[in-house]
Amino acid sequence: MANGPGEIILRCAGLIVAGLVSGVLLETWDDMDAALEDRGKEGAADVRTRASLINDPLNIAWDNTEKTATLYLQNSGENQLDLDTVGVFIGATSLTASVADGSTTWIPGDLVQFTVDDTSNTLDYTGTNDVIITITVVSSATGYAGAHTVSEEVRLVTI
Amino acid sequence: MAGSSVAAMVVGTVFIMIFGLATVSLVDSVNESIKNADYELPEPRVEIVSAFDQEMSTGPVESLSISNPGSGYVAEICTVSGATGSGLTFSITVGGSGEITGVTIVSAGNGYTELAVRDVDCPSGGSSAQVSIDDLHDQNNISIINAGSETIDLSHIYVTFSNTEEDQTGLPFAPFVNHYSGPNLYLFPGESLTTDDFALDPSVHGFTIDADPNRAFLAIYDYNDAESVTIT
Repeated sequence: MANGPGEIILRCAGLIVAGLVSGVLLETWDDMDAALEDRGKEGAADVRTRASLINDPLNIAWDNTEKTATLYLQNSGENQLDLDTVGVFIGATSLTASVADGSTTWIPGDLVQFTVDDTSNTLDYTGTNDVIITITVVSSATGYAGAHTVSEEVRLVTI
Repeated sequence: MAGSSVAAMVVGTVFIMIFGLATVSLVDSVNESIKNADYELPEPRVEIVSAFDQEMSTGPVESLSISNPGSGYVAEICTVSGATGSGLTFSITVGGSGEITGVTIVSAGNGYTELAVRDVDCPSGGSSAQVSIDDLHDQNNISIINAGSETIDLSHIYVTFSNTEEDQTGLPFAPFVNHYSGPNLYLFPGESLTTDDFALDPSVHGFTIDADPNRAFLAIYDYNDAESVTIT
């Protein structure tokens, strides 16, 4: 039991300090919760975003004059994909990818034809060449956009 | 003084409740993140059972010959009448009395039978001419099986023909969209299905009707399968 005004003051001061510390802790807790929730939504978007190369990897035609090839990509995820943010690398060389079949949307299951172009004229292939092609796609969902990268070994056949 | 102790207990209890609720919310978020990490996209497995490129009992016409030249014809695009197939057109050249002296296939059509003699049917008329269907083009068909444990949308399956001997590759096409007349929309685990017979088309398959691609490559999502085409 309290024995005097001093103890009451101490008790009140203790409560105030506890309240302040609790406030700080709760705010931190809330930040952690929000961060985890955001990361969860990003993770959900990422895990549902996927594209797959549909070309026969044994034989992908490469035009060494125009420095172009045609890739067919299937949206094998569960999110709609953005047609304008497809990234393609052959080895370490970045190529531009543009829609070649007039598609305007890329919904799950759909196949889209892309022309990939080495605008830097770095790649120079003759005959057949086994290379690693890396493709990155981004979902077009609002809020959290998932991303997916796939690498495949393919054989480029110069035409 | 007892009042202040009670107040302290009440405040403490409120703090505990607030911390408890915050902990529950935090645990929920962690669980949600774990659930997302464990989420798996479909991994269908479809395998090619067989792929054929061969002459079927009916098909597109590869060659025609004149059985009866008739008379009264003019040079133009004609077809045949009384046949089971459809779509066959050919241009004719004619002699002095309108008899047919030559035929050149314009469109091979489909559904025709070999070694059948058919009446010539021209827009400007003519009488008695007949042509013989001497040979048919090869056609293709593909049989697949769902070798996985997931039901598959048939429209998500793509096949690409290629000719490995000549380093030619065709275009990916959806065989069960382009060449399947049955009622099925899905392929259930263990189920197999065969396309209708179809002739090669450059705009669909990347090969002309008389080509003989020797490899069929199937792709669905991240799963691939390839088989040699049986050519006879």
